[in-house]
Parts: sequence; C-alpha cells; structure tokens
Amino acid sequence: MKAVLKALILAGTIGICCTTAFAVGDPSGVGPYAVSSEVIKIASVTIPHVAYPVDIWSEVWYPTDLSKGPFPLVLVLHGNHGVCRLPGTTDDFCPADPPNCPAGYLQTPNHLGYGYFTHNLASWGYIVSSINANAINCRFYAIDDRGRLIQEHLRRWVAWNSAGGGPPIGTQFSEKVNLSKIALIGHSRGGEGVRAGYDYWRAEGDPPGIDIPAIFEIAPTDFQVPIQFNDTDADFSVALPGCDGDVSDNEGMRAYDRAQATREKIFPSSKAQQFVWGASHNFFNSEWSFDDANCYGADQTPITRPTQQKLGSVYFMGFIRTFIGGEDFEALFTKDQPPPPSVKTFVDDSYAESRGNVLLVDDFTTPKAPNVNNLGGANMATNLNVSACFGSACSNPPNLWLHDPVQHAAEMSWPKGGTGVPTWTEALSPGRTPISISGYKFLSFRVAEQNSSLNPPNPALLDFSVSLKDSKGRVTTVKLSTYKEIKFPVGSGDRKSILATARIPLAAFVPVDLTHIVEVSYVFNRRPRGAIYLSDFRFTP
Amino acid sequence: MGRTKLIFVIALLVLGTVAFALAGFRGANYTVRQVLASDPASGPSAPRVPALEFVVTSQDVFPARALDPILYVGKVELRQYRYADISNRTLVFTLFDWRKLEDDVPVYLQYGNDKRTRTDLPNFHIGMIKSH
Repeated sequence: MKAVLKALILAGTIGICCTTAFAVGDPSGVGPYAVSSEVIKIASVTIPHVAYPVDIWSEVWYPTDLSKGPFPLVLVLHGNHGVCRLPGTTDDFCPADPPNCPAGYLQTPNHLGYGYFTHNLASWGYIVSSINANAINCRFYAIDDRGRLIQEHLRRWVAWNSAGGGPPIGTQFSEKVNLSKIALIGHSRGGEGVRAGYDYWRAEGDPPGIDIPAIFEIAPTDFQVPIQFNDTDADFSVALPGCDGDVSDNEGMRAYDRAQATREKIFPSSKAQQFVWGASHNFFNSEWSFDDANCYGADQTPITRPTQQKLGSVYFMGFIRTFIGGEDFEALFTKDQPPPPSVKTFVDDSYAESRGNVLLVDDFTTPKAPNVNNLGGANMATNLNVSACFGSACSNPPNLWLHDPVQHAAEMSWPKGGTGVPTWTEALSPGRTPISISGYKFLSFRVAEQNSSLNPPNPALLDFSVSLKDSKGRVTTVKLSTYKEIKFPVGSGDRKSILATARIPLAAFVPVDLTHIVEVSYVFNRRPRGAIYLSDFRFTP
Repeated sequence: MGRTKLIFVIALLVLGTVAFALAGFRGANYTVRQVLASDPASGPSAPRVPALEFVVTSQDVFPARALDPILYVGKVELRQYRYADISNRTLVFTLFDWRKLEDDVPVYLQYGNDKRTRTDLPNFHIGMIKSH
C-alpha cells in the first residue's frame, strides 16, 4: 500500500511535468555579458604528428569584462570545404597547396560561419574560439590532423591562461579561462576531428591539467579509418541533418551508438542525438553557400538557412549551457518537454543516460539473444517474428540499417500467422523473481519502423502498447504514441530506419507496484500488421 | 574590361559548374603516368619512390566536401589525392602499391559511399601508362 501511495505521488508529480505542454525555455538568446571578439593568428606552425605547417588561427568571442572570469572555453572546428574564393563571391575552391591561394583569390573564412551562435554563447559567460583549419582542408582524410590541431589549440590555451600568458596575445586571458570546463563543437569532418582531438588528449594526457566534459558534433563524418574515435567519457550530442546531401548516410549516428553502448571509465555522462527533418549539411555554416539539401524523397520539407541556424543555436547553446554551465535545458535532449517554438521542424531524438546509472534490461547483445535478456530473464514472443541482429544483418534493402555494428536490435514483425495478440514479453530476472524499479523514473527504449509494406506509409505514426506487470498480477498498459512520435523511415526507394528513444515515465504505470515488477511487455495491438526494430530497454533515472 | 567586371564574368562561369555533380561528372576522363613521389604514409622525410598518378579531369568542379573522392581501378581503391590547381577540375590520385593493378579493368570515381556521384570512366589498360 505504501508503495502504491508512493507511486501515486510520483505519478502526480510527473504528470504535472510531462503531460502539460510547457516547452523548454529557449537558450539561444543574448545573455548578460557584453561581448568582444578578436583574431588570434600565428602563421605556419609545426604541430606534432602533422606533416605540413598549419596556422594557429581562430576568432575568439569572449565577455568584454574578463574580470568576472574564469570562464569556460568552447572550441569550434569547421569541416572540409574549399579554402579560396574570388573577392565578392562565395564559391570556394581548393588550391594545389592549401591554404595558400593563387593571386586574386582570398582565403575563405570557414571558421566565421558559426557566428550565428558563437556571439550569443559568449554573452552567457563563455570564451568561444572558432578555429580556422584551412591548412587541413582540401586534403584526403586528415581527421587525425584535425585532432592534432585541436590538441595544439588546447596546449595554446593552457599557455594563454597561465600567469605569464603567451604569444601573440600576452596575458589578455591569463587566469581568465576555466580549463576544467572545456567543450568541443565540430561540424562535418570537424565533428570527427574534435572527437579525435578529445581521444588524443585522453590517451596522451596532453595537455595536462584540463578537462573536456562536453562534445557536440554537427553532421559529422565517421570514417573510422584507420582509427575509430569515440566520445565515451564526455557528455555528448550529435545533430544529424535529415536532408544531408553530403554525409548522406548520417554516419554520425554510429558515434552515438558507440557512445551510448559503452560504460564510461571516468566520467558518467549523457548521450543525445537529434535527427533534424529538413536540415541540410551546409546550412549549419553560414559561409558555405551551396545548398546541398537532398531529402531523398518527399517526406521532408527542406528548411531555410535562418530556420536551421536558429535550431542550431537552440541545440548547441542549450547543450553547452546545460552540460558545461549547469543550467537546465536538458529536456531539449530528453524531449520530456517539447522544444521551444523557435525550433520549427520535427526533431527525432535519441537520448541515453550514463550506462552506469541505468538498469539495462535488453540490448540484444547476450549470447542467447533474443531469447534471454541482459538481466538473465526469459523473453517470450506471441504471434510475432523476432530475430536479433546487428550490422549488415539488420539491413534488408529497400530497408537501410546504417547503425554502428555495436548497435544490436530485435527485428520484429507481426502477425506471425498464429493466433493471439502479437506480444513481446521480457521477464526482469531469471525465474521471474520480482525486482524493484522504484529508484528509476523512466522506461526507455529505442525503436524504429522498418521500410516494410507491413507498415502504413507516411504520415501514419507507429503505435503499440507497453505494459508493466507486478508480482500480484496487476498490469498497467500505456500507449507509445502518448509519449513518442515514430514516423515511417525517411527516404525514397531505400529508406533509413533510424532508432529513436521513447521515454515513458514509470509513474504512468501506477497502480502497478514498482517495487515488485516481474515483466515488461510490448503489445502490438494497435495495427493488424507491422515491422519494427526495438532495442535498448532500460530503466533510467 | 574593368577588374570588377572581369571578376563578375569569372564568377558567373564558376557558378555554372561549382555545384555537386549529383549524376556523375561531365566529360570525365583520365590519364596515367609514372612518377617519383614520397608516400606521406611513410613519414614527412620519406624517400621518393616510383608511383603511378591517375590524373582525372572533368568539365565539372570536383567539390571539397566531407566525403573524399575515391578512384576505383578494378579491385584497387585510390584514396590519396590532391587538387592539381585552383580550377578544381583535375584531381591527381597517387598509387604507390601499383603492382596490384590488373589489365583491362573498369574504372570509376565516387565520393565516399555517395552513389549519386559515381562516374564511370574508360577501362584501365596497362598500356595507358606514360613513363616520365
């Protein structure tokens, strides 16, 4: 009775929070600090492990009154793009010897393309340095070189923050930088590049005396050749443009898959992913003029550059202000509340708390998957086809599965041809011994539709029921669609099935006794037939 | 013609061809030559060794984008490339392990896994190699 009462109180609390339509506040506005900016440039520097000279060059936005510091540091890194343009034009080209442009051409200010959020971010008390990586552009691969450039900028900031400062800016930033709160933001190859820089810093401890607790990647590459870079021990978010005409396989999702599947060694951290409908690759950089939007079909409507940059400002600034600044915009990433009205397109989210803070029920990686889950409980299918898969085994053209091989899932379709309501049930322990999940707040799982004729096409949304059963046989069932909008895979012909996270407040399952739960069931009773992927069942804080 | 006008004309010419070639690169072709080159994978002071350069030209610009262009010559993938000049209509792919090449094999260029950019080129024949 006590447990039921407790659950009712929790239900009431969460009900107030989540069923009302209060949107998350908009973090992208101008903050209290006046902002100055400055160019820092040292030409042709030799950087360890890089075979050619690179400029140490950045535009830095910072609170004009640095006496209020020290302030967190945010490094921003652009991606691969032409580095030379004719005066008065915005079409960019590659010289034979980057970044040296022939006579008559100017260097493209690729690093200035993020001013739409760097200025406002600085006004909230951040030193934001957008790095010019033109010397690394127009070359094959060069992800490692980008990582080394990040590492060199970190070394320079350690020097600039020291009492004695360092050239070329002297003591301007001496003791004004909070080196334990550094964030990295990278776009395109710059996304994988900041990940590389983070990994080099972690592995080599160079430079010492700093910490990098947060990384945001925008439409990143994930070449993984010859090295796989990961974001394990940082709060991490990745934005995937739905109409990315360049990194068209949205391979940044693989960085998320690996991050959320790995238990951190040092720093418990959250992982997030936003698949942004209608967004292009290039519009996140205002200097990249060519509209590369390719939505691969008519499902999505391309969004304008101002709309996309506003959305970018919301998510990039919201991430930094939450995970570096300690403010509360986390619901932008959990989607426990709707995004602010300035986000004018559909954003499909994945979110995972630190692997160490959740109770993992099933990610279909056990040797006996899909029959036995991570808790050792038995799984049972009724009138349902189920198989566990990962990597290319999950992909059945025209259904594309582009996730990292570390991401396992259950392929499910119904009906199997038998009788009974198609249902997938997971016992939460061997022998169905009841367990308590009262210390958690959400049931979380990842789900995607398959590009299958078993599913109705857009705009129909996926729906099914989820239930919890306690040791006294009480069952509470809720509808997925109350908490998550799952759309048909995007594309044309071949379509991409991208897992998104559904989070259902456990309070919604009252009156089941959350201290004595025996099983969770997914009941496919809202469509006569269907085909989906499911994975990553977790109880989360 | 004034300088501004000249720049405007050049810009117009450039604009016509700078966009991604989404259905392949128009008029693409290539030549093959023997050279002596240093393999960057062997370090900054690597000695110059015999190599082959596949010089791929097109009427369209080869854009710098997140994905790299890759030249497929039969079973051999050429990933190491450079831009020949600012026109960006010539890419030079260098192959150090050229003994793996086979005669009379299909050749195509593609950016990463973006199949929209696949551009089929004439088959490669050993006899196409020009000595320096």
